[in-house]
Amino acid sequence: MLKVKEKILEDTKKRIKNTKKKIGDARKKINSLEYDAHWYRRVFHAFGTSFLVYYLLPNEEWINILKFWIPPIILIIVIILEISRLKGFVSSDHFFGLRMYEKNRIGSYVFFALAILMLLRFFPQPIAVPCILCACLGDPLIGEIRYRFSIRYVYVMGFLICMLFFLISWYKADPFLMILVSIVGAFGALIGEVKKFWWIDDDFMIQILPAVLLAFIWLAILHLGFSYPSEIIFPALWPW
Amino acid sequence: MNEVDMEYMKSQSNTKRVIRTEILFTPFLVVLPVFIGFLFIYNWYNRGYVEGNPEYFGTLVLGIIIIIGNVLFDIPFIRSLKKLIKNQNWK
Repeated sequence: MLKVKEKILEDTKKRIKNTKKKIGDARKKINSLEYDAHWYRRVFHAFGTSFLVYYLLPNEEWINILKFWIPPIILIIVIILEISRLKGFVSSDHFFGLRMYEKNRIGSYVFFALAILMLLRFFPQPIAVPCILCACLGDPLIGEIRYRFSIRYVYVMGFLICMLFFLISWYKADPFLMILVSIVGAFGALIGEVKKFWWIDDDFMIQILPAVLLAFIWLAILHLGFSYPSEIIFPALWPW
Repeated sequence: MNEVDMEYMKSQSNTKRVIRTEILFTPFLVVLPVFIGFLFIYNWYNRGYVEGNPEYFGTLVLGIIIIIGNVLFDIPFIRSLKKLIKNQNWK
């Protein structure tokens, strides 16, 4: 009787040990996947800088037609894809880097694409370029700072990073206007990134909030006695 | 990671599928922005540097920002992807 009890106890211990090992392996696997998804999201953000090529493309009729149609077509494809995912026609498993809370709501990449399209189409280049840079490079950099350091650094460093993008994009403007725009733009981008809304993604807000604030300044530039800054990106010429 | 997350990630087929999607996009995500960054620099060189036009200085700075910004995230991403494939024994 005692031997049977001992055997049962030994078996139970073995099972517990095996289960613990399995849990450990699973946790390791999940953590490595989470870590990888984290970098994937960062790279996906940085990839958005590619859209600045929109301003670099040569100014020719057929290219202008492509420039007019391709961005909205991309957005329509993204929206169709997202609707298919939400309706269950396409599995969420194919959407790597998707956050857990995005599983049953519109993914942030839709907001990201929508904001970029709005900037390219409706805002002047000196406003669109720094706002796109804030979302594509500023957002992941702020995310990394938040991940590694305390929240206090997020505000200071995030503000400085976004301000740098506005300074670079407005370097041809009057110095006072350049500083005003950089402060207002960086403030808008930081609020857009830090303040979370359940109904709209920060990838949208970080681009559109500073753009709207700067649009007011843009409308008042002549009344303030300044002239409009020239563009920073000029259409390229064909090498041949 | 909570229970819902665990449930979502627990199946091996799911893991393989998401990694496959990731690998499929990696060359595109990594190469295209760097290529476009060099296009900016090329444009500055052709129309700014060669023609001596300082108006193109911004294009050069943007090109450098695009390249550095992307490479900064590409390196740890590729490193983590390699590590993940090794850990998952994924083929």
